[in-house]
Amino acid sequence: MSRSLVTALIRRLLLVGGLLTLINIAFVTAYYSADPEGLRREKVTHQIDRLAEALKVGPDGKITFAPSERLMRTFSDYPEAYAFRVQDGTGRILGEANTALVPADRWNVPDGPDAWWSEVRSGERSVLVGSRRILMAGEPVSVAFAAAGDPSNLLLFVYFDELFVHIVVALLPFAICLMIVNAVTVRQSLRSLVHAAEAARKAGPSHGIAPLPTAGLPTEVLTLVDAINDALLRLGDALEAERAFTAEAAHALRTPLAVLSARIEKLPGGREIEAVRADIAALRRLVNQLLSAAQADTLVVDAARRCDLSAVAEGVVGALAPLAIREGRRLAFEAQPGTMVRGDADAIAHALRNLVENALRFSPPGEEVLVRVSRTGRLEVLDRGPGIPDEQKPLVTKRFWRASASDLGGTGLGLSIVQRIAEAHGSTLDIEDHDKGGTALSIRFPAASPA
Amino acid sequence: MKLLLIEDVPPLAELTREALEAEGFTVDHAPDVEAARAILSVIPPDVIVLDLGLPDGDGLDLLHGLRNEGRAIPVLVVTARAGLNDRIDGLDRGADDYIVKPAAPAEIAARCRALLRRPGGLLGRKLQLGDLAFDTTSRHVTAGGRALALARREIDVLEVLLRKMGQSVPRRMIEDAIYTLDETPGPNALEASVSRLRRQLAEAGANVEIHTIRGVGYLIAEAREA
Repeated sequence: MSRSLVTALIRRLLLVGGLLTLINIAFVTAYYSADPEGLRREKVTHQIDRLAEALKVGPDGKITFAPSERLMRTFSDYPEAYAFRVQDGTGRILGEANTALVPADRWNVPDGPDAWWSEVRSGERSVLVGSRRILMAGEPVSVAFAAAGDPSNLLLFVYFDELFVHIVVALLPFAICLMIVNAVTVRQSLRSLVHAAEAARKAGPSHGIAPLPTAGLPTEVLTLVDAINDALLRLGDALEAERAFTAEAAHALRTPLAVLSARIEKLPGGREIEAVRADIAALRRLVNQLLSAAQADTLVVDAARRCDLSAVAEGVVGALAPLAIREGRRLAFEAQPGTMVRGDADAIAHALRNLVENALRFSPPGEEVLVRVSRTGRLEVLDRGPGIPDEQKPLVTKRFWRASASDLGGTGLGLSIVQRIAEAHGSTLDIEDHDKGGTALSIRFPAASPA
Repeated sequence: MKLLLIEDVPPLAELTREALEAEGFTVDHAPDVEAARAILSVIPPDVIVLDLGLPDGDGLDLLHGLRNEGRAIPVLVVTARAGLNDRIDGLDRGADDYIVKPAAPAEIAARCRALLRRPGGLLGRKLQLGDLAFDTTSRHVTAGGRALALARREIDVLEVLLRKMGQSVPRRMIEDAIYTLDETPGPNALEASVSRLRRQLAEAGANVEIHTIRGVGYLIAEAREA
């Protein structure tokens, strides 16, 4: 199963982020449970901070204390638990609540340090008092807070506040940035790989084998692409060798066959000799078809090449007309002159020769085989033969396929060669029933704009 | 007619030579480019049959050299190379016709005669098909020895068809050959000429047939025995 690299990276980052969060929570929890006194002090500090936020300096330079209702509710809801006093340097009280919780003399340490703690025992309970001196408009203001127990779960609040500061504020933006940067970096470094993939998809006998572009590839991938390019190079060599072999084989097979048929020509006529001549002719056809099948496999169609489909088809019809007449069939041609298509003229002519020879073989004597070229670039061969049953239509382009075992006239290669040539042009051989009986074989070639 | 056969495979050369001699040609044989050049410099042949793959060089180079010297001897190239992608560039390099191996010697002989039948060719004076004879100099036509009285247009059409006997002749080629630039034939003028010619050939009992290849042109051949 394949997965997107970006998704995999983000998934892993999320996992690491989650793990870090858990470690953080564990760390904060462990830190405070190991030090309950610290946590209590933290709570008091936190409340002092909240109270200090309510201090304002007016336009006349006077300091006022304006706490929010929410802040004050903590004190009105729990008069037995929380108390505070805010007073300026002269001892004037700016704001206070529940001050009875602590003996009056314990609220003030006029000449004490800027921040202090004290533990006051009040009956059964222990009250923690904390105070801090803040400078407001150049004047010292002392903010003191006292807590006995924790009915409002202020501790929990502090705990969550700690977690928030440690995780959400510190970790989350960082993690999100990391993910975005990662996704962008991966996408960008892989973009040149997409080009290479496109080039690789095109490589093949029909389009030639060119090395994949390596420009802009990250070095980690470059090794792979270089290796693929080496492999492509070897494949290209092999393909070239096969083409060379085909040409060699052509020469090597055709010459002895020519000698053989020339010797047979010399012999006096007779039934046996006629049979041998027919065999030689069949063998010659087979050799020719095998070679063109091998060549059709490695046919390279240059999409930039243009050819006049109607002119090519007319040439083939003209060349095969004598054969048709010798065999008592008629060959006809209908075309839109000047139909330009993208394709290889020699290969198209070869395909059409095979189609026409095939159609002539299956046409009853006296019937017409029609070659038609339409303006859209469609090349059709229509015969009036017995037609091809639907279940056999997919089979006829298979190599060495014959309609019946007794059909010795053909090599069984003709239509497979046609199919290869059609494929090399990015097209396919369409096999349909001729509406007047018989078969309609056609190939659609890509149209080329007139020059 | 003198024919120079340039072929390097000994048994094939010998068999082809015998077959061509049986068809009435006087055959000289050269197994390589050097021998061919030597023969060409002494006795110029009327027609050359050229195999392309030779031990000491490429037949196409020999052909190219011949054409550069301005020699217009008709050349039939016999090749094993013709394939899908590499149709020989021999026709561009000056060959008059080509045939793919393995070719029957009878067909080589027929192609050579067709080359010699071309206008200006050695056989160009008298064209014979079945019992039909056409003298290109006097423009007399006989069928089975009896003279045929044909109009000038029909004689023109017959000559174009006979020069390419057994092959399709595109109607454009016939029209170009029989009408002058000033003439503007109607769309059915050629059909009319051909059907008159057919009728007259049939009346004279000539055993030739003019076939119509719909959409392409015409072809003249010996009548098929029914």
